[in-house]
Amino acid sequence: MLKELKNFNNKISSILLLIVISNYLFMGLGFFNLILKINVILFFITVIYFYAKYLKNNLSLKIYFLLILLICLGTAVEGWDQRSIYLFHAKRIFFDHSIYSVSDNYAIFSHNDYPLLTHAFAASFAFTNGYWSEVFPKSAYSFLYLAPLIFLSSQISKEKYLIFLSLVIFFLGTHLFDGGIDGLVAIYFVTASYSVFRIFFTENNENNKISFFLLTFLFCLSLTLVKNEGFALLILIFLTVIFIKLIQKDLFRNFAKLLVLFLSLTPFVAWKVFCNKNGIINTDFTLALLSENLIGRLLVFENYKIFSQYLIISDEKSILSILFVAISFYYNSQKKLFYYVTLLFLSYLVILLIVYFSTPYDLKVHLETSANRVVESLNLFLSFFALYNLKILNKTS
Amino acid sequence: MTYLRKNKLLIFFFIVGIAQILYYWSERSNFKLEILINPFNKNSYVSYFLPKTVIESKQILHFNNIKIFNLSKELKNDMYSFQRIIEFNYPIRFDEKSDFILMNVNENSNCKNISKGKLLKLQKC
Repeated sequence: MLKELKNFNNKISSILLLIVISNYLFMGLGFFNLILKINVILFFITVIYFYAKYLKNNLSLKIYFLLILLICLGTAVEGWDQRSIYLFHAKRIFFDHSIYSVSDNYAIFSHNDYPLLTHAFAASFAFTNGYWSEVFPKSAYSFLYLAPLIFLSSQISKEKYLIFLSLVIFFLGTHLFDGGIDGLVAIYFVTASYSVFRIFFTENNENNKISFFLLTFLFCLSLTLVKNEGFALLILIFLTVIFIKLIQKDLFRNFAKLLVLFLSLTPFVAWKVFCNKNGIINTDFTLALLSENLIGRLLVFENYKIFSQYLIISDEKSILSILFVAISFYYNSQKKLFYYVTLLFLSYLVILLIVYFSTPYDLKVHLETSANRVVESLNLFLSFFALYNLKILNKTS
Repeated sequence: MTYLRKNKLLIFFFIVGIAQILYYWSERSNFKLEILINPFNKNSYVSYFLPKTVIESKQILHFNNIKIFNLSKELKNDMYSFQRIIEFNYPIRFDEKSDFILMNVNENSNCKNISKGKLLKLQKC
């Protein structure tokens, strides 16, 4: 029965992800017709099937998600980024019938270089509806949490999973229902890093299954297309795997798998080539800014203090997650997992340091306005692996 | 009872999750039952949080059948109004070359008045 449930959960996650990605593909190919509506209806049928098939399976997730969905459908779109960037992209896709209309670089404040997977999905909700309204398309962002959460439910024990869900609500908070995508980056990062770890660092027949590999591929692909940070995070995951495998002198045994997973970067790279050809650049981070601001800021000690203060010290959630991971690995040190988590954590901090030190804005102001959103991924990542590492609570897997 | 005793831990964490969601619902969201009853509403309930200036900009542009508009310097310098007016009015587009300029009613200009609302006016320059 447990195996059956696990297969069921994995299948549901795969179907949901495939629908979201195919939706983006159809829009990319210019199919703005019935096929999008069918896709969205299929998505809803899959969700209903997940709820109904094994009613008691994953009951906590089902109840939590239902409540979150109710809050989402009962709130208007208010946040600055949600209105100026995320929902605005969805609105443009809906009215322009194209994901390429950003090539005119209209309303530069909306960051036209951002990948559009999530916004395309939100736009397809409006297509299904037949007209533009803000509240219903916003719920698309909440629905995108389902695939990774359903997948993870069959990867850890029931107790751990319930704690994990509480941590998701604690760390991601309002992002679960307000139409924001930083929470999505966090949950897809956790899922992609977990499944990649399982493939390359654990001996288990299940991890060698093609279905598990396909799901991992889909999570990696989705991570890059949620937001630019997702691409950087996936590169870090791959680099960490390569680094550890090189030390273990075991790189070539899994090289083919790694190469295939590398292909998940292709849609993001293609999108960036398209943006670059149309002169759409990221205004917050360019190579020119690296030489302009980075070197100067690296030499000032005060900047490191500000950086660590905003990202770690003054954020109680960061401190909690670091403490949690420290305690977890102190009591149960799985070496491979420890290296994997530590390397990923530190390398992401270095990337953040480079990005923030290169910012064209005042460092303090930039950190003040974005640090709490950026660390969500790190906090959830650390907490998940701290939980995964714990030996206790492994009763019901 | 046996089930409850066996699953104390599960129930505890389940309640923690529910409590957090309730907290976000009551303290950190602008939840309105009216929105939940009809989340498909075309007006998207923007009157709950968008300033009247932004809402009026759409009314004026629609009423005068304007497809491309410009904004006065004052409105452009107010980053919140600037971004909200642009995103809220899409697919009506902002273009600095447009002769139709939206401005605050108290702003002075030598252009021809096209339409006037309570907070904004539309002029052709």
